[in-house]
Amino acid sequence: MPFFERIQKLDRRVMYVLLALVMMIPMLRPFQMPTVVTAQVQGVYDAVEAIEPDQIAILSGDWGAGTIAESMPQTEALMRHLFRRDIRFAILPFAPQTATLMQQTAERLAKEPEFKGKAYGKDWVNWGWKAVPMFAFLKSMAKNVPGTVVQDYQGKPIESFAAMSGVKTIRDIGFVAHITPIGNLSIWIAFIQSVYRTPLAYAPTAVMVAQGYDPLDAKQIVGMLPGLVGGAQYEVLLKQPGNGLRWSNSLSFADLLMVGLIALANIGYFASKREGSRKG
Amino acid sequence: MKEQGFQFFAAHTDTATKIAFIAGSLLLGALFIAGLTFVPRRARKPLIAVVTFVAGLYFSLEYLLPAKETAERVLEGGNGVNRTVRALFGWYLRPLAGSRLDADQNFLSPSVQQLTTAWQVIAGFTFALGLWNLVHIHGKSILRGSKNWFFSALFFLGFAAMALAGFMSTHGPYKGMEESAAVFDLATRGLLFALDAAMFSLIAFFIISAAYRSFRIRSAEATIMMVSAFLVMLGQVPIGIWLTSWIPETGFISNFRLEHISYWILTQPNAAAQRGINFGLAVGAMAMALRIWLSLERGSYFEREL
Repeated sequence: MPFFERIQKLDRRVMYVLLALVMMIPMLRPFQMPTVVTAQVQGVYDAVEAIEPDQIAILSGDWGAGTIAESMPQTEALMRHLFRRDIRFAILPFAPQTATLMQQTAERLAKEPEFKGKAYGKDWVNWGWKAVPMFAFLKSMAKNVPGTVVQDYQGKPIESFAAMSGVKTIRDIGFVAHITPIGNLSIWIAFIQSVYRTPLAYAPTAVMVAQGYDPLDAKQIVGMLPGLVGGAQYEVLLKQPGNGLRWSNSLSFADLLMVGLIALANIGYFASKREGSRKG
Repeated sequence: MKEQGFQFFAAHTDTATKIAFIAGSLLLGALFIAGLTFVPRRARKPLIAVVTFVAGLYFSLEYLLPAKETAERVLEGGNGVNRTVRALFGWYLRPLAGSRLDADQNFLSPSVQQLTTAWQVIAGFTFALGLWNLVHIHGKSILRGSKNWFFSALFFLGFAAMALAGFMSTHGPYKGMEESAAVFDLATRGLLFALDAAMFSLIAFFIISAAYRSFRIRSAEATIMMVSAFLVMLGQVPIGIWLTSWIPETGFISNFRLEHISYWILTQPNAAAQRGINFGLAVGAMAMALRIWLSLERGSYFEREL
């Protein structure tokens, strides 16, 4: 087989091994690469900075273990910032796995020496997953938070938590971040942001990022954390390197490998086409 | 928020009340479903159509009708528009402004919470239906000894193990014990989450193989798409930023840094295209919603005899 045809038919197992290697090496041997903080990430940071001390923030999400590499660094960075600012927050999961994963993230952060004294119920509360359409929950919650949430993820009355004191309606909520791999941001916009003007941030996975620029341009969202890179940029703002920065190096090399392989296949395609036309 | 006495439709956390409500709801639900079976076949579709219409109408009106604060503003306003609105809709605005509702509520708002709770109950039934469906399909597969009966048995095993681990950690004598928490942790973090993450991460391998095999520059459109894809992909990640980090950060030349090109593509041509798509989607969704709301939808599922 001619060389240019051969490079178009690379064994897929070779690609799999190459991808595994470029993903693993930066994780095993971490190093620092340049990261530029974009305006959209800065917008989220500024919105968290602007939350009033007596207000509560909502970290809403419907991600699971499948998108943990992207959604977890985003969640972690936002929680870290809220802990630092002593702003209490509520976890609002719209999927069963999210309730557990976000709770575990908060518990892990609370064990760090920097956040000594942070405790469940006082600094954060988990509203638990509710089997109800998102729009119906948001509509109801906006007008009566404790009446809609009722109990936390363990079945304890929501009003018994110090973190929920004074939280009655959407007016008591100073910031919402929706961390999601699904294109359902429009529900938050339609039923909360456009009605009550609550600052809303969007933290999608990379494949959903393109959808976020329209509401960002329309100022319906205060900012956006685009995938894993968004989490990494937020870590730069917090001056606390974490999984976001570490994993984005793996992503860098995976992207580079993909670009390289596609370019290689196209070089082979054009060269063999030219060779074919020359032969007649 | 006004303090009220015993609220029948509110969710109850007291154990005795909760059990009484569960038993009562089950009994009522069973009676209701039994009653529905007596509805003549001819009347079943119109019944569903009426319920769908009323539910849709309620949520639309609750969203669109002005709230108390708007009513007060219109009643106090002195300009011509307010006077016209007052003359036309005074019958609605005056009682609303004089009501004891919260500022952002209209007459329909107080029931939203109860309906949301009712919705949760209905959603619970749909879960039961889903479960019944799975048990039915996999049970049949095992009983018939079909080719892949082993996977069906695995379903029952996995389902029972996860349910048991969940119940043990939150209910009964093992509640709150370290051992039951460890079993739940093993079942979720150790198994479910790990499998889920592994399944999803396989996509990266398929994507790289598929992109390598199928992404060929065969037309001008494909060329534009490939160049934009490369720029956006690399402009988003640190290595792309590093590739053009030698270009000054200020001045006209800074526009040629990969992260700036990528940001421009995403915020300008992409946002414009997304907006166009969103308009189309919204119109389509509205048409679809109207068809479902008014029970005009046709097709195999909607035309089946009930």
